[in-house]
Amino acid sequence: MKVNHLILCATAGLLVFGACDKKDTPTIEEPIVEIPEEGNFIVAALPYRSTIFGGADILYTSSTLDEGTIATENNGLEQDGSNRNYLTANGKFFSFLFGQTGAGAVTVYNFNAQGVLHKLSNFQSETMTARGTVGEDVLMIKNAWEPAQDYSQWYRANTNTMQIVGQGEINTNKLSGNGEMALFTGITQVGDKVFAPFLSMKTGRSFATSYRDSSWIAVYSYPGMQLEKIIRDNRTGFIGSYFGNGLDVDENGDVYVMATSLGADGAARSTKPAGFMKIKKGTTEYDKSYFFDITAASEGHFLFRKLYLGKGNFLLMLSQTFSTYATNPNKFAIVNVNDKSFKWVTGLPAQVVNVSQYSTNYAPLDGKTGYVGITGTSDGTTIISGVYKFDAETATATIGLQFAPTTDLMSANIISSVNWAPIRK
Amino acid sequence: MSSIRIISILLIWGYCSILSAQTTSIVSGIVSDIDNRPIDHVSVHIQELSLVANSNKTGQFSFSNIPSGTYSIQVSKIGYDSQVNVINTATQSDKLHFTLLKDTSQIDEVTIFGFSPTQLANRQAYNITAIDATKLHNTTTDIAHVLDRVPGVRLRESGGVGSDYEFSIHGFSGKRIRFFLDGVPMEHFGPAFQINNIPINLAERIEVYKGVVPIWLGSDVLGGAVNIISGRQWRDYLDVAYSFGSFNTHRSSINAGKTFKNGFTVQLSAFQNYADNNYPVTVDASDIRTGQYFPNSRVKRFHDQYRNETAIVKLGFVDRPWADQLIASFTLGQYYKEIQTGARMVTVYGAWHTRGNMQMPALQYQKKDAFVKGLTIRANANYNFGRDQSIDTVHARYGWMADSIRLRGNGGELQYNHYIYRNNAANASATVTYARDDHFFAFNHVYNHFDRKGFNDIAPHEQQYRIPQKTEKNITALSYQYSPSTKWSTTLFGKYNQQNARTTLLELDPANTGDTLYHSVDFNRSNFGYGLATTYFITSQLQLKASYEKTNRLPESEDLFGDVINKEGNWAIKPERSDNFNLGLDYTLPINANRIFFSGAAIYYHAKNYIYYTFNNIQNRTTAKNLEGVSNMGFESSIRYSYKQTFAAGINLTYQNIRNMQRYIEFGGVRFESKDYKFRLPNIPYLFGHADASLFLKNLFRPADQLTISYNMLYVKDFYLYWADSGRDDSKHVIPQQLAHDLNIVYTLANGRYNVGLEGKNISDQILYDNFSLQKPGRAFYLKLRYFIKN
Repeated sequence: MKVNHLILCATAGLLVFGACDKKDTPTIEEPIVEIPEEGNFIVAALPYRSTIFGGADILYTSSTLDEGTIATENNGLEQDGSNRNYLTANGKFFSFLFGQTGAGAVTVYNFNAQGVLHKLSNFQSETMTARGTVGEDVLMIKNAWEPAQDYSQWYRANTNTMQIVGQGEINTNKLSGNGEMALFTGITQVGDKVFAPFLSMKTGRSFATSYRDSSWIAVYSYPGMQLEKIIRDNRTGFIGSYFGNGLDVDENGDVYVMATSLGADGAARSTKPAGFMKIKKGTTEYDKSYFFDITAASEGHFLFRKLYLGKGNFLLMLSQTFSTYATNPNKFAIVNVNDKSFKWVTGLPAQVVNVSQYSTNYAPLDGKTGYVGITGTSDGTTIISGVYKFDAETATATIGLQFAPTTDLMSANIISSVNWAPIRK
Repeated sequence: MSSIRIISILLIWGYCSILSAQTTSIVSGIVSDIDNRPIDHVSVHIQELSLVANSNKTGQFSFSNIPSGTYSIQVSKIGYDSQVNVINTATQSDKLHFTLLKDTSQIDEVTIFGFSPTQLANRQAYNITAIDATKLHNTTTDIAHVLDRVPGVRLRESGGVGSDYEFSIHGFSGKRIRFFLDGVPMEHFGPAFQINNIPINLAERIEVYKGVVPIWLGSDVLGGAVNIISGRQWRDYLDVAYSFGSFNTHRSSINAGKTFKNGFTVQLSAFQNYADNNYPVTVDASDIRTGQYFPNSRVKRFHDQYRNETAIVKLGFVDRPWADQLIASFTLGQYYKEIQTGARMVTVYGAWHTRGNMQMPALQYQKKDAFVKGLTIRANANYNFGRDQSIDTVHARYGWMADSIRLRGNGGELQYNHYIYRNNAANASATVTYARDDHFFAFNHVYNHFDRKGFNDIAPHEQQYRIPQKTEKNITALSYQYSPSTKWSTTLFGKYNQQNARTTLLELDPANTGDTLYHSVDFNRSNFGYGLATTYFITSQLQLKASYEKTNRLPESEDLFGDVINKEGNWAIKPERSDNFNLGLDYTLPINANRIFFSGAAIYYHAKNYIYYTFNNIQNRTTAKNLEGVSNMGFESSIRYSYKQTFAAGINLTYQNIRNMQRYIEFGGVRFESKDYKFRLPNIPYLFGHADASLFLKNLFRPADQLTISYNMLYVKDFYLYWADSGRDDSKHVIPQQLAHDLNIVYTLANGRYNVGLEGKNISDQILYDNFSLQKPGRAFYLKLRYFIKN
């Protein structure tokens, strides 16, 4: 999950305030960024027919997400493949090639002074299963898929030089200590550490596991990537989901852990609920007194993804249908982890057919707004596809920047990611 | 000018000779040329009875039930002086023997490609291009590259010698197009024996059927078929060739045969290919440690070696009373192939490779006039118990500078496996044809068996590699052809396909999530197809052809089961069905010593449940899916010109317009209609063509020598990798226009006994791609030496 500059800034501010003496151990430099910064939005979308025949994401830019129509004629940057993973780090926009299992290029863009997206460089990397910003670096993990492969690799890319500056191995067979292999679902910077939750499974081919009612987070030092601890818990099943990060750090520095309890289906389903757990700032243990049961609050829905809005508010994506890989959420709710409130969101099309949940969505972290790409229909004929603005106070969603509504599904554009990057002079 | 020589030798066979007072006789004979070589497809015309027969491969022809009388028998074939012989059935006792002389005042019909309208006229009404492969025996090409020059055909390769390729006819690609060797399906022969490694010297003639395919090429083809005819017309021959050239390419072949007087025959075809394929490419090379790119670096490929060695030994009898051919053969082959890149040039491998072997005994039997006159029986069977492996066990990362980092622990480059498997593939087929007067019946049955057994040598106990994968196919076809005159003929046919398959699906045990359950599944399904092909000669030079077929294609075993490495199986995949329409026109125009041949065809097809490949739901492998429909409206046209036996040239162009026909889609639980659903599919070339010109200079330096200079050009119009209407034009990924020029000079001595050929391929050193970013070799030169004797 992308870590917004505001959080880095806030945490940096607190660290500067709190830490009076500099220690010898190297700390991650927190870039101090002026707020607010001028920037543009980047919406990645592809025509529906690309999902059948193959196609590429197109990157469209806009100065606002609240209104407007995206022009598709001779507009937008074509990617090489349906890159579904994007990341904004250190003022640059990273596009990760996905789906070819082998090595591939990471393309780096930025906005020039005129606000036009242009390619800065590529660098060679693997197909990464997890990625996240840590300081000025982008940390990525290429996961092993089968237990016969002992190690997974991690890579550190420096966002100034746009090169890989460090790499190492993690023995994912031994990580959970239960005989199964680990599959990382996300990377989140917490303080000066890296928290990386993982799923446990016998093999990446099936996601089958004997430990469906447990969760794990590996804690690493940075940049050394020394394993410091594994935070275990049995109140829920898995944290996050395949390609879905489960952690967020709020303004106080506390970590909220979203467990979806998704995994293999059928009788192998986790018996535990989905919900939020909490790790207090500066600790590496759960605050066991805190548990926010989302399965109960949603009356039995399955929790797929989240978007942190700030001030303890989360936009949740849910579904009534179980899915091992958390595909196709179609219901939304606003929850607050402080007062444990739960409100269903209204204002969406009658049928939601696609949500941009595999990659990043945008929230300005003002505590009440979130933007997610949604494709749906109200009458079963006209397809509406656009960026929906969620308001946490009213628990409503309204359409903002959108593609022209169409009755032709094959040409309809499906949004895969909503991002922001600064315009730096 | 022509001269007429009359030679009369009569033989009346068997019981017919005793009954010279009977009312009917058999009139038969043989047609040969000045060297006593049999000439096939000679038109033999009993003028008074308006009966026509054609000489077969051994030059023989036969008429039965001829009433007693005197007849004028005219024997003719384009390119030869025709003859007329008057016979009386009462006095004629021996077999007729006609010797035809080449008509040097007319054009040699058989150009460098051997497009021979006469041969086509005598064939069925199919859209067919026949290639005389003997004209190319001094070139260094393989069968795939020769086929690439045929209108409507597109060969897309991802590299040099032995690279992955996709062969398509009018947009039908992959396993839809079936290949046959002498009528036997080349199914599951394995990578040791594929069209891109078989030298042209193995073939005598190649027939490319586009659209509707005759039923005696028995298989569930969809869109076209290629029949490679390897039999030789000579009794004794030896053809040895060796070539070497750029990128350390060495290719050699031996084709030899001897037929004894008692009919015992021994034949050998052996060939090898070796190439390092280390041609320079322009890539964004990256530093293996930092990932930094150095754009547009010129580097050499370093892990792309390909080699194969294959030999076919045949023993048997020919021209016996009990068999025209009874041949037992054994094919032995092996290959080794390094894999340099993934789907894009940026994905580099330095150790992953495949290897395997082929061990195939086979039996072939053929008898004309078996039991009854006009009844021909052909049968064959083969079994390939070869083994293949994919070895991805080196845990390292390679870069274009041929540098590498070794990574700790076990792993591979793409995944981590050493998959060893045997397909245990067996084929058997039988064809029975019966010809009588204007009627021709044919029956064909093909049986195909596939039983893959494999395991992952790294984890031999892992069940997902060991699950059984079995399919069996039975295809039965029947056709009837009516040819009342030389002016027209029509064929009707029907086909019945049956497939059964069996495998084991792995499931989690509901009682214990740690355990896996094995759930055996199987299916048995069948479908029915039919069609019609007709031809009409508006004049003797203008031929109209039309054909239609409703055809089915059964899923491949890899579509159902996957291949463990890159493809995930889809047990629910359905067979494809297609309605194919073909309309063609051929026109031959002789003007004195010039000959011009025009050919044009229009193709339309609508394929339902079209099988295509897309990423699986976690995007790490591809899987087969059915698309509701795909259509194509295409055209091909070709013009060939030749002047005497001195100069030949041609040009052809193909246009295809492949569109989606899926109208209703289920998305997110809602069924949508797509109003503009007939859009063109991406990443498929839509306009391409060839041009060639050849000069033949005989008796240049010495008598019986010949110098041939030929030029070949390939053109493919640029096309988009993704959708034409998405994204800014300057950001789009394009497969650029291809314009490749090849030049070939061959010098032959002693009427073809000694041959030297020099070839330059891609002489303008263009950067050529068939697939996005995967470059093919630049400029390359090859030298071929060949020795050929025949008797």
